[in-house]
Amino acid sequence: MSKIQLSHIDKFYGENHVLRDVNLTIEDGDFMTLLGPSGCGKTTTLRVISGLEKAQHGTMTIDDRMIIDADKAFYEAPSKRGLNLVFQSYALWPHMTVFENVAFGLKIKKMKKEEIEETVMRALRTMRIEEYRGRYPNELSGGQQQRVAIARAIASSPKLLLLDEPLSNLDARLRIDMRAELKRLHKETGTTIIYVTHDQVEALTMSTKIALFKEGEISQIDTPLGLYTNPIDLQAADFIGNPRINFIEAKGFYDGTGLKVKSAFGEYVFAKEFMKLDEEIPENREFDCVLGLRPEMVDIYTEDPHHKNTVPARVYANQPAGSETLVTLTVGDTEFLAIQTGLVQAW
Amino acid sequence: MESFQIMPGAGYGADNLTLYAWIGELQSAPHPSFNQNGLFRNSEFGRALGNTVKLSLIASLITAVFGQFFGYITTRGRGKWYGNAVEQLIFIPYLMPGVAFSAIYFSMFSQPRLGGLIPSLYGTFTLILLVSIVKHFPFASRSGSSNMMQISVELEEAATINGAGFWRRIRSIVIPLAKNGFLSGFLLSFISIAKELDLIAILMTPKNYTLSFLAFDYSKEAMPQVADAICIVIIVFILVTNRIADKFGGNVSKSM
Ligand SMILES: Nc1ncnc2c1ncn2[C@@H]1O[C@H](COP(=O)(O)OP(=O)(O)OP(=O)(O)O)[C@@H](O)[C@H]1O
Ligand SMILES: [Mg+2]
Repeated sequence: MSKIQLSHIDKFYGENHVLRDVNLTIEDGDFMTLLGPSGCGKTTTLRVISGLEKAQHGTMTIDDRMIIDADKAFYEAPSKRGLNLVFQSYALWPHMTVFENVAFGLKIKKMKKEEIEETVMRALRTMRIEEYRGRYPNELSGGQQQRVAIARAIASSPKLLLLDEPLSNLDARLRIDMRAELKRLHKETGTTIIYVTHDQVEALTMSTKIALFKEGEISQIDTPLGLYTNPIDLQAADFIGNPRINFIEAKGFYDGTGLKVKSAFGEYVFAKEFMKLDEEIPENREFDCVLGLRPEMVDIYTEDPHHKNTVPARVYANQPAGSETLVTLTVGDTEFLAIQTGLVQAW
Repeated sequence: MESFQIMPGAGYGADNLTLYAWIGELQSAPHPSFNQNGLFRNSEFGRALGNTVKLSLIASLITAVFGQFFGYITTRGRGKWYGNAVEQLIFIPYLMPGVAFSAIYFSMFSQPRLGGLIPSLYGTFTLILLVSIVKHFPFASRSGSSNMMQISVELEEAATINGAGFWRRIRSIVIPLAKNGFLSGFLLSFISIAKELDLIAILMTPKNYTLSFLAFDYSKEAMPQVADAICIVIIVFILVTNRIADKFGGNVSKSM
């Protein structure tokens, strides 16, 4: 339960500039997801926050307490930051039982024996793994190990919980179960969580906020819905959403009252109130632009519905997948994807 | 097998078999070429056995402990200057042949140095011990670093975040996990020290004879039977230690 503020964080590995001027504010109780392709610096960000790596520039505060002040070479010790980290590999100690793994940090804090017992069992109960307390990590399944790793992290009641792709080693079904479990944990404990993933579905389903990373920079911070409906650039639009968004070449023309967009789909005018006017838009001059069209926004009719925003299209391919059907359509030379719920055949 | 023969090379018929090389006394020697008591009645042997046990156990324990320690430094400091430096330094002794190496020691320690600060070590057990340790150090630290490499850094980092300091991490995480690798590193140097010859031959004085040197000596004196008996003793000694180490570490061969 705390507010974390990172400002102007720079991290180099040798010559390699891995984090570039990262600014991030995480409000108390947030479930903040760091999302981005492999190698963009998500793990590095977690390691900087947790204190396992030292940033070369920038500051970090937790609840207004200075934790990192790189210019003064001040780095609070990891264990004094009031946080805990679940590693992607879980990093359970193989020579300790589940109970001992969870109790380790508490013993170091010199907690009393009965208190340790009680705290550990509470953590194990929260993660629903009490019955495995005497087992060794290699006697547990991946999902169970992951719960132990989380139990170990929450036993010390951290104000901030860092999770590094904790679900990536699990099979698809277990992953969905664990997603729900993590969401429940977040709700029950109210802990601020920073969650790392490169899986956009995970990010969209679990987070209250998403920070989108691109090559060591944060390109956008928004709610899942905000990110989905208002991506900041083409890359963000492309990265979020499955199946991918359709991009359609178009010509724009802005006359000060509305944006007229011409494409293979015909002509459409966006009213001024739907436009983001803080960006530079050439006025009274045609310019190249790209239309983004989410596949689920497309409705398909077999007969003309006599609506002004329809365009005749041909079905190119059809992929029924049970709960939904992917349909590839063409309008003139332009190919695009539409998604329809349920089993749609017939075309 | 030769150790049970009277004349080596005379076959294994009953008339050519004897336990003399093991337990015989000089008065009742079955052949004039024997000039020593049998092994178990020979005080030289007793002392050599003692020396070998002492030397190989102490030297290999020390090399193994330091090997693990330096292995830790090199793996955790990989890419940092101290890790690289240590890694380079450790391999210097490896590049020299044992005899040349002990010759260096011989000239270094045959008289007091630095105004008596380093006493003349020639002929002392300490010198032999020192030389054996340095010689086997590269292997031990290699085995140490491969052992440490198997202990993921994240295990230690997880302990750091949970509040463990350096010594606590070593004690609660690294040592328990390094135990088996430590034993195999120990056995590695133990076995080669137990049968070490060329390195320490130059530094030997009768008081410090080890089994392998004694065997070498006897075989020079036309007593190959006794020398063979000694070799068998060495092998048995190694096997016994191996068994004991096994008991300690569960299954050492698993971690090898
Ligand atoms: N210890 C290190 N030394 C040098 N470079 C490193 C180190 N750790 C990471 N890097 C580099 O930093 C960049 C960011 O790595 P990071 O692990 O943060 O990526 P990530 O976003 O977590 O990727 P993934 O999704 O694959 O886990 C990568 O280009 C990587 O090569
Ligand atoms: Mg990562």
